[in-house]
Amino acid sequence: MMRFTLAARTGEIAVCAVLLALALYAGIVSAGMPLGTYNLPGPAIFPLALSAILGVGAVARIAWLVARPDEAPGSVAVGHPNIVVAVLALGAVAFALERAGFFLTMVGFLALLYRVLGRGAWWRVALAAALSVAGFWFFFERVIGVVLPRGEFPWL
Amino acid sequence: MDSFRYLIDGFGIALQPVNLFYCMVGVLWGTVVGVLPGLGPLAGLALLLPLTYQLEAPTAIIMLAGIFYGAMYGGSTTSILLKIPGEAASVITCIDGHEMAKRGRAGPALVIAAVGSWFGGTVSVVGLMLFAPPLAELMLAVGPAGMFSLMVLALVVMSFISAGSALKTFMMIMLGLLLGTVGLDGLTGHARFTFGSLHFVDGVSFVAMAIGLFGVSEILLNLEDVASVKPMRPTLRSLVPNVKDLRDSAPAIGRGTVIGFLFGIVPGISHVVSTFVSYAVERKLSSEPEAFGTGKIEGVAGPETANNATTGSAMIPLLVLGIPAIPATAILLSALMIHGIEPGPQLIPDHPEIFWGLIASMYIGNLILLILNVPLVGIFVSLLRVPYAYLGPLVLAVSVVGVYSVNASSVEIWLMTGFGVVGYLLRKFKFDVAPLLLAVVLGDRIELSFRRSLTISDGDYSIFFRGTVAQVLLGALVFIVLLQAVAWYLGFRKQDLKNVG
Repeated sequence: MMRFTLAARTGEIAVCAVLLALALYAGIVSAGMPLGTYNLPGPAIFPLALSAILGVGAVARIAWLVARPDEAPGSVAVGHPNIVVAVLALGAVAFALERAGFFLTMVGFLALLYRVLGRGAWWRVALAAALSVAGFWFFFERVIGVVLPRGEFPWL
Repeated sequence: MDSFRYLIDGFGIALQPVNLFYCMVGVLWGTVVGVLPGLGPLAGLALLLPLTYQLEAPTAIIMLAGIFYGAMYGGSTTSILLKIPGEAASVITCIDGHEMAKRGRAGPALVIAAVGSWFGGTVSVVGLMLFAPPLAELMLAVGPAGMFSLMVLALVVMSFISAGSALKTFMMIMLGLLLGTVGLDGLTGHARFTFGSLHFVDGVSFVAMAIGLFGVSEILLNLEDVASVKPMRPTLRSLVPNVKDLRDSAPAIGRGTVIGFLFGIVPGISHVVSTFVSYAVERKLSSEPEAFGTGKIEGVAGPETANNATTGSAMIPLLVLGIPAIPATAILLSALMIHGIEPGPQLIPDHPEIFWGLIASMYIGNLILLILNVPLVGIFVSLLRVPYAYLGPLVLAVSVVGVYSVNASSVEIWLMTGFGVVGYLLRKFKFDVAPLLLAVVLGDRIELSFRRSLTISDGDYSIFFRGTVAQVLLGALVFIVLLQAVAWYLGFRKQDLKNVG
């Protein structure tokens, strides 16, 4: 699937580049806010200063990593299939929870992950998921008093 | 005498059935997250934080504090029985604890760890009770300028003593402070980085961020290796330590208490550092230092006591100054603020029920942990038999429900997932995410105290240098930065000379 391995140094440079981009974006947006005066700074000053420091830090780290190839040795594997599935499943929950309701969404979510991670038979993972969700519903809604979404299927 | 009267009142609060129940829930959940590798006190706190919305403030804090110190107990179990540290502060316990277990002495190791944890935790609560009120009185005189310097000092100290590169930690702090600026400006009401969405008017959801960065990212990291573990199960009879064990571990427990208490006040990863210092001290003082690493009980007693002794003292900066010394107390801070309570020097006089209720609950909670941990160790260990293929998704489901319950909005789930992925990637490339969370909590307050100071002084920057407190703090700040710069330069020169050689 999406699994790939990259040098730790390359990955760290990539993270620093993202932080630099974020700092640049925050700096540009902050510059458009009221700056205030030297004596009484406005809402722009703090984020502007932080963006500048973060940007300088990111550039310094990138320069350090480029200048010293022995820094951050080894390689890092990211995007294991299990992780990709878990993240996509969480995204699906965020999309479906208010539409399909708590019970259907969470049974689907848990059954999928139980199946992918545990390799059990479908009927077993579906049963385990349904029992888990029933337990959640009892604890959260009945004991704690959290109102869980019913979605389009209020009878469920 | 007043303290004693307040403490009695505190016990009145802590012993209310609802508070006692949630204290037990907290310590049990804390022990469970401490036992389970990959879930530490932070993830445990973050996961149950949304549930505290339904509770009264004292009950919420009692439960969350219970998770915090409960996790310190639980961490030792897996270190000793499996050589898998349940959380970072139990890493050092693996060395001698597991060696003892391999020789069939897991029982005494577990009991001494539990007794040391109880002793360290209880004495540290006594320290909290004695030192916090007078310190709070002293801090009442410190204005926003002093608070600004204090918070900056806390972040600088943390960037230097956190795990990994200081520059990387520093960047995480800056990112956290920047995230803390999202939302309406506290002084002018100007919207910053809200993208025109009402969801961000109050800032980025702290709960979604905390659960994402710690809970979800932790699960994602563990999903890479869904391994099964086969723990040892000590019998009840084998748990009893002999007289030599007690004699050998008593001084180590005493020293671990002092070390842990002192380190607990220092911002950063004090509970982890204290265990390493305690181990080093025990080894140094031992008549047979070469035996360390082969199953010396002092190597278990000292560090396990030290990590629990940090729990009381780590509350001092939080409750007295409103500054969380470690990320776990940052979550406690956020819980207090969610309930409309501003931690700081005013907390003790304004909300004695919170402070004294918490103190009393910590005495009770530590005792509950001691009673639970020894006989129930087998049950806690059997949790490890639940395959991670089932445990991981269950924890993710708890996260989803927890984060959704904050605002009954799916946006929180999106945010949590996003922060989970960000946390996963940052941790993969060895960026410490704990300082980021701490900076988010402090960011807003640092900025407000800075700008309020200037408003008070009519724009005169010398307010930051006036007064003994400000001067001492700034002096400490300059000293630490210079010290670190010199250390960095010397290390750099040494490495360069080695490369040339």
